[in-house]
Amino acid sequence: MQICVENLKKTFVIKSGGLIKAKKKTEVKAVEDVSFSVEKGEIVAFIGPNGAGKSTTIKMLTGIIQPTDGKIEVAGYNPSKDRKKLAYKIGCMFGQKSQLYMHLTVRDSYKLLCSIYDLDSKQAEEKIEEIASLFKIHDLLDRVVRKLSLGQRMICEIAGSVLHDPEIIFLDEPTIGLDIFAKARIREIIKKMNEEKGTTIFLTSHDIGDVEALCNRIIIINNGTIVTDSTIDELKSKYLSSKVVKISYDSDIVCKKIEYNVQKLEHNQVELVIDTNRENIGEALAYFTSLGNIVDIQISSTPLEEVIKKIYQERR
Amino acid sequence: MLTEVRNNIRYLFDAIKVSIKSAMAYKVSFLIQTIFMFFNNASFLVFWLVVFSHTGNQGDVTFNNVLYIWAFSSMSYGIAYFFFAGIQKINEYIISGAMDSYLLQPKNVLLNVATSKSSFSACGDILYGLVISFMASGGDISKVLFVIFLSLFGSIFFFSSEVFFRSLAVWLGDTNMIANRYVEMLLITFSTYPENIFRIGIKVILYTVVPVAYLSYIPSRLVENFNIWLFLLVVIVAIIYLTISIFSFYKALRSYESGNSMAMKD
Repeated sequence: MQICVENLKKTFVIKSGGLIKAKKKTEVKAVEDVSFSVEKGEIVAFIGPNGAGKSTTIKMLTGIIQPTDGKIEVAGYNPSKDRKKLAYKIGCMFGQKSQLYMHLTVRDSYKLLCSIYDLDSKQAEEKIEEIASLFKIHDLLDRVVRKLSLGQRMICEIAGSVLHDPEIIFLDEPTIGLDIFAKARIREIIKKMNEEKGTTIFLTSHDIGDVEALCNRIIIINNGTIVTDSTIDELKSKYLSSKVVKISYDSDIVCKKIEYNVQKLEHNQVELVIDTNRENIGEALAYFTSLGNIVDIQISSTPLEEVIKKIYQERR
Repeated sequence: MLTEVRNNIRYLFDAIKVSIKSAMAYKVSFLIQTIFMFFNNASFLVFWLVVFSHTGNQGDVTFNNVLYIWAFSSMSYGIAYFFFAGIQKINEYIISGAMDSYLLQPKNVLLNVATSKSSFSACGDILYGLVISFMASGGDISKVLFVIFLSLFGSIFFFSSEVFFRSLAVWLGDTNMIANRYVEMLLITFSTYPENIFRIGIKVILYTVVPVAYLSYIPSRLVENFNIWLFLLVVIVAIIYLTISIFSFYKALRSYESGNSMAMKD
C-alpha cells in the first residue's frame, strides 16, 4: 500500500477581533475523519468543490502541514516525522506554485533540482536528457522559464517533479488554465508515467476531463469528509443509469403513453429520460419508433460532471 | 552520514551559485546597484572625514576606528545578503504559502530558503568593506583576511535577526516592517557609529538585544589587538543568536498553515 490514511483531521484556528478587545478564536474543521488507502500504480482522482479539504489533505500527505489528529503513511513514512525521507519518494506539482526559477533556463532549474535530490552533475545530465526525451521538451530546456507559455511551463513543472523518479506523484490542478491541446498533452504524459514507470498518481482537479481521461478511481470529498470512494465504472453505473433520448420526426407526432418520462414534446421533436434500472430501453425505443418516421436520434448519458455536481449537492 | 553532509554542502554551493546566477540575469541592473551601494556607503565616510578634519581624534576614536567599524558593518551585511537574501522572504513565504515548495524538498528548509535569493546591492557592500579594510590596515593583507573572517560571524547577526523577526509572521501576520526597522534602524545604524559616543544605557542595549557590539565594535578592536577571550565571546554570542533564530524558524514551521495564492520563484 502506497498511501494509508486513517481518521485524519485538521482543524485551523481563526482569530478575529480588534486591537483592544481580546481576540476571539474560532475552530474551523478543514478535514474531518478522512480515511482511505491507495495501492501502488493506481491513478486516483481526489476531487471536491472549493474549500472541501482537498488541498489541506494533500498538504498533510506531503508533510507540508501537520495533521491535528489521525494517522498517515505515505511510501512507508509518516510525513510529519520523516519529511526529508518522504521527499525522495514523492513528486509534487501544484498548478498554482512553481518550483522552477523564473529568471533561469529550464535546464539550470532542473540542475538545481537534481542537486536537491543528491544527483551528481553527470547523473543530473543523464536524468535531464531522459526526462526531456520522455516529455519531448528538448526545445524548452535552454529557454528562460519566464518566457515559456503556461502550457509549456506546466509540462516543465511536471517533468521537474519526476527528476528523482518518485514512487508517488501528487498533482494539484495540473491542467489549470490550459487550452485543450496542452491539457491533452499533460494527460498523455501523466498516463505514460503511470504505464511506463508504475508511478502512483494522486490527482486533484476541477476539470472532470482530467478525471475521465486518467483515473480509474475517484474519491470525492466535501465539507472535510469523504462522500464517495469508488471506481469510475461503479460511479457511472450507480449514477449514470439515466439516458437522455432526443428524437426528431419528419412530421408532427402525438405521444399517448404517459408512463415515459417525456421532458419535452414539440411538434416533431421529443426528448425523454429513460432510467435503465426501471425501464426497458428497447421497448421504449420501439414505442417511439412507431410514432412516425425518425429523421434523427440522439442517446446520451448524463455527463460525469453532472453526476459529480449532483453528489456535491446531495451531501451538502 | 558523511555522504549526507557532502551532498548538503554540494547542494549549498549549487543553490548559492543558482541564486547569484538568477540575480545576475539582469547584468546591467546588477552592476548599477553594486556601484550605487559602494558610493552610497562611501558618502558616509566623506562625512566622517570632514568631522575628523575639523575636530581631530575624539578621545579613543580615530578615523581608522571608523573605517574598521564601517568595514565590519558593510562586509557582514554584504555576506549575509549576497549569499542568503532568501531570509528576507521568510515572512512573505509564510503568508503566501510559498514555503510549500521548500517543505517538499529533502533539504534543510532554512538553508534552502536562505540560499534561494541573492541581493544585487550586497555585492557592493562586500566590495566596499574590502576596500576600506584595506585602507584602514594600510594594505596589510593578513588584517584584511581577518576582517573577512570576523565578518562571517558578523553576518550571523544579520542572518539571525532576519530569520527571527520574519518567522514571527506565523503568529503576528506580516512582520516585514519590524524586521526592516530592526535591521536598518538598529543593527546598521548603530554599527556604523563608534561605540564611545554612546552612554552606558545605550551600550547595554548594544551588547544585548541589538548585538551591534559583536558585529562591529569588538571585531574592530580584535583586528588591532587580538584577544582570544573577546574572540570567543563573539563566537559564543553569534552561536546563541543563531540558535534562537533557528529554533524560532522551526517553531514557526510547526504552526505554518500554508495557503493557496499563486506563487513563483524568482
